[in-house]
Amino acid sequence: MIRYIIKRLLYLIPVILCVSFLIFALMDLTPGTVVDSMIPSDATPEMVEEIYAQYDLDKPMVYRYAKYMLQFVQGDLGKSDISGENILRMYLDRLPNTLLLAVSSLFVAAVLAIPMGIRAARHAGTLTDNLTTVATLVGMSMPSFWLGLLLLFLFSFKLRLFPASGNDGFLSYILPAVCNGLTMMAGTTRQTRAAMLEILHADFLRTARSKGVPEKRVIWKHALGNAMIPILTTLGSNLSSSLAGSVVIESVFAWPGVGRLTAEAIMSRDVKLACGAVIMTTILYVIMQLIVDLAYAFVDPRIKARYIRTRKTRRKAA
Amino acid sequence: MKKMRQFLCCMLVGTMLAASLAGCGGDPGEPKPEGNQTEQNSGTEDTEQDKPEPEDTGTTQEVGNKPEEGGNYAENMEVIIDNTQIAAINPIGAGGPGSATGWVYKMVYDTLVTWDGEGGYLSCLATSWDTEDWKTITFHLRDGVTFSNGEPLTAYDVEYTIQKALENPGSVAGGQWSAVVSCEALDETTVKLELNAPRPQILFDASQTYAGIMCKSAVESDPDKGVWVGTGTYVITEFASNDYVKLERNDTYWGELPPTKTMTLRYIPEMSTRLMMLQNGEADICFNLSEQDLPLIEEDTENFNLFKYKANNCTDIGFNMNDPVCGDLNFRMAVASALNREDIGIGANGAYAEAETTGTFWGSGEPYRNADIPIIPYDLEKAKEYLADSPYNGEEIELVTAIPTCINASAVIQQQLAEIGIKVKIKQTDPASLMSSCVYGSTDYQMYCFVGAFGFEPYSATYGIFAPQAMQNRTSYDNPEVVAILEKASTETDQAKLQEYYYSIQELVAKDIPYINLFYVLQAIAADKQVGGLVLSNDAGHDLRYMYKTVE
Amino acid sequence: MKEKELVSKRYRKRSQLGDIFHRLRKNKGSMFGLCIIILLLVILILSFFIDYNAVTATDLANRYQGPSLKHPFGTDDMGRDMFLRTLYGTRYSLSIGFGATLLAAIVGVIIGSVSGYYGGLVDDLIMRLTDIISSIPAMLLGMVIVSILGGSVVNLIFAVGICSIQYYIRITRASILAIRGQEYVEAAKVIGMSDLRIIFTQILPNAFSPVIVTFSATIGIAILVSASLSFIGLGVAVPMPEWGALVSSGRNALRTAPFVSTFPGLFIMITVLAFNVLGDGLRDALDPKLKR
Repeated sequence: MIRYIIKRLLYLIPVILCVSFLIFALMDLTPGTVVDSMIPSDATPEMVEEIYAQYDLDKPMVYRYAKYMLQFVQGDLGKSDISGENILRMYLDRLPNTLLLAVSSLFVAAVLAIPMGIRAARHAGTLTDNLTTVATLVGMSMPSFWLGLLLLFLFSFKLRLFPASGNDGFLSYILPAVCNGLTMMAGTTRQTRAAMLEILHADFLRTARSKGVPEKRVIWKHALGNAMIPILTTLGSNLSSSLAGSVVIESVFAWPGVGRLTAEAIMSRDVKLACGAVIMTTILYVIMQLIVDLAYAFVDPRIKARYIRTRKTRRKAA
Repeated sequence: MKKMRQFLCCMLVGTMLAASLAGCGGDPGEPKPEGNQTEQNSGTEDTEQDKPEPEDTGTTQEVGNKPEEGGNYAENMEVIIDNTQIAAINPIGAGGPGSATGWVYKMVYDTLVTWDGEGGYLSCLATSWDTEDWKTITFHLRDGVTFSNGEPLTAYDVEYTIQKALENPGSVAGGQWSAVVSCEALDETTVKLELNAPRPQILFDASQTYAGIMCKSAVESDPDKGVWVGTGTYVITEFASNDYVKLERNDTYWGELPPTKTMTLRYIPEMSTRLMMLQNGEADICFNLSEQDLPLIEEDTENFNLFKYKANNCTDIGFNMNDPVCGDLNFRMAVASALNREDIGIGANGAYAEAETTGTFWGSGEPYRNADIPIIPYDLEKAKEYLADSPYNGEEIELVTAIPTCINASAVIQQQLAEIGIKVKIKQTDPASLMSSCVYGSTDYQMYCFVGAFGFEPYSATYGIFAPQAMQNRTSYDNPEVVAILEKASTETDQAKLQEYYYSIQELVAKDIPYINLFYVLQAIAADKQVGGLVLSNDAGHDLRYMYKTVE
Repeated sequence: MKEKELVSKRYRKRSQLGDIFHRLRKNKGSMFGLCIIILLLVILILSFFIDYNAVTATDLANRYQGPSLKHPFGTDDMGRDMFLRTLYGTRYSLSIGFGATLLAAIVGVIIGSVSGYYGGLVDDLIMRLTDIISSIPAMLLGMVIVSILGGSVVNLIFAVGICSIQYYIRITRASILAIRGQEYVEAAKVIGMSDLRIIFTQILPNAFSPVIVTFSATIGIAILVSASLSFIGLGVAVPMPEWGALVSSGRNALRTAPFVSTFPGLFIMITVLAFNVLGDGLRDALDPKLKR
């Protein structure tokens, strides 16, 4: 198991190299730099040269890249080109907000989607099922920014139930979490329904029922427990993509998270900040996927056994 | 003679205003910590303190209701800043800050001198200054000033601040002190600057918010947060980059204490959210609202005030003067004649825009503005004639633009130019790339649509925009005559001479039209009815220090 | 459109295709989706008769007019008719969605089949690279590419397409691995067919149905991603009426003129919905085993 985790984490190295090089190279392709906008209006050519030299802009891209990676290896993401703030600190300042949004919307999605999916599966082919299918299809097709604007308009402007932005207090979490959660929910409900449909007629459930296990327990423990893997996969991939793709929700609800930080850095050509933020998000993304993979092992003993077996077989082979 | 009369009127109104302010007696709504203006000054800068040009409409105004006598002030104020984010608070860090960063600097740091908004300078941290030839200048510091961490202000702090700025030429402070060659503290209260050339503008540079004096010992002991220590009215207690900054009153401030104890300056990206927060009382003042939402505030006169001012800088079209088509005068005349500025203004910012009426590039509220230069009138027939004489032959002209008002304006420009047969393609980008594409002028057939960058100090502003080697010269404009006059203006301190120089530069440039002025954005600031004490500046360098909100 | 492709490439198996279409027809949802898509294509064709000047024509006296007979969807911040703009915008969303998915499918299938057929070092290298690309969050990659290359339809197709190549590589490779060792492929080798011919005539047809299913599933996502990019300001240049940009243009007037962002948003939703239900139906029709 540990060997597996280490292997997956080592795998991050080429990913980081690739991502950072991509960003440096792409940003280098276009003429002009972030520094141009900060040169004082009456600067002499010598001063301009000096400022360029300060940012190593007089050297080739590869030099800057190598310098950046050397720093990175020492755990230093450097300072933002525009604000001069420490990038790691800027990122970590905002990360809790993004995590909070991701986890709370995951909560909304799970709490709504699993019961809905189960209900639809148990009443397959009925009106309930059809309505659920239509609702999930609509939910999947809804652009999240549009849904966000609709929610804002209705609940914030018209009914004045929730604040429109910011992250102070419980009330302000609700709209972004619901908006993000609803889009997650659609996929999860479908997955739950499909997984439950496959399992509802399985023999072991019939056995459980004939043994007199109450129906509630049959569904929620025996059936759901076995259908959990695909549901978990969907939820997990939703979680990791909402870490990375929260830009849109964050921009609609003025949520000070890492998505907005990244988007703003990219748009203002702050190469180092953009690179640092994308790398950090990528690392988180990979780790999140790893956690989901490991979570399988806890849900499904068969998978856990596989991890352990591989270790044993390896030892035998050695 | 008419000008003279205007001038007298201005004076009269000004005196009455001052008298009425003084009448309030100890009123905290009167933010003048630099009260001892009569302190001894050297002879040379007396000329600097001469009154400005008569047609000057003033660059700053104080707004808001005056509080009743004995009124109470709210302890805390929530401020929603404009569209610029506060990325960092560090004058010697990387450059390129937005206007709201300047407001914080003004609250946290004091400068050696302050500008009176009309061409003269008042004492601040420096009580007096003397110079022989504007090549060296000596400042004498105020006694008894302490930094917010308790350290006394000495000349060594000034020396350290300037030296740090010079070490970081790309920083905002570096830009302010760029004319300084060396800086030396002669004793505890005297500091001497040596400049690279005779430069009377140094006083202006020293008065800018970004030239605030930092504390040497604090910066040396903590490079990150030590730079937040200043001698100003407020102290930073909490700061989240691009999000908010919390400030608390500096109770040991040497001047008059501000009425509000704590202030939070917050950036809210979504305009409609800002409106909501203001209406729900989550915010007391909001510096930027969507023009569509502003009427909602304007109608609600019972609860809100709307303070308006005309931006100093015009939104312009700039031409790439090296371009075979845009570099042609007839083509530029054709474009200038084909634009209906009123419509562009409405398209860009609704009712909150004012079309340009003169032909000068000068900032709207600044001294030496030559308002007599006629504008090129809107005339489609003329435009077609000019176009026929130009080398334009159906090429697609690229119009590069960045911020929302300019992008909207560009869409209208595209329409209007299509009417005389000029094909325009809009290229939307970010401000940094816009700057780069102007500087490098990489592609042919380029025009730019942006808000001008005309600073308050006429020499630096004009040099920055029109000198061939200046970085801000976005059009690659190169006119030796202009450069020669600028050279003369650089060391001139006589107001009449300066006026002559700057008027002729404006006339020369108006003939070449490297820029076409389009419209001024009417900035509108929405505030709670009880808010006052705010000093607005039409270059967005507002003074929030003595802002207050009265409560029952 | 897809049917046409299928017909041209697989004319010998027309009967199977008919079978698929027959099954598809029984699915009410996908017929609904198909109808919507056909309707959108009709709008797309009709939109070529709309004068571009009418779409960008500003009418500054009539800003933010509510929906009326003259302007069914109202007017925007410059008095432009939202109905015409929304209809005109169909071409951007459809071409970006379709173009990006097609690009990803073509590139992905080629790389995937090379990887699956040759195996060994080539396969390892390609799969490692695919893993790396799939570790980068798609939205971020899209943002970086568009912001640097600049916003245009072609660049958006490129940016959105790159993000979904990995799915096609994986699917094609998997189905090829399953077939590679089969006798008829061996037989083809024995009679001296070239590798290229084997891949195209013997192996790829077997990977076709999963590719089609993925195609219809990712086209909706591609439209959503491109609209999101436009919404945050990294899309096609103004004043081109891309739907995401239209929604974004109405957000400042959400309080007073909510209709500006409502209608284009509705169009995005219906389009994506149509592709999603059609995709569902296609999956059921192509692979009956998957159904229930």
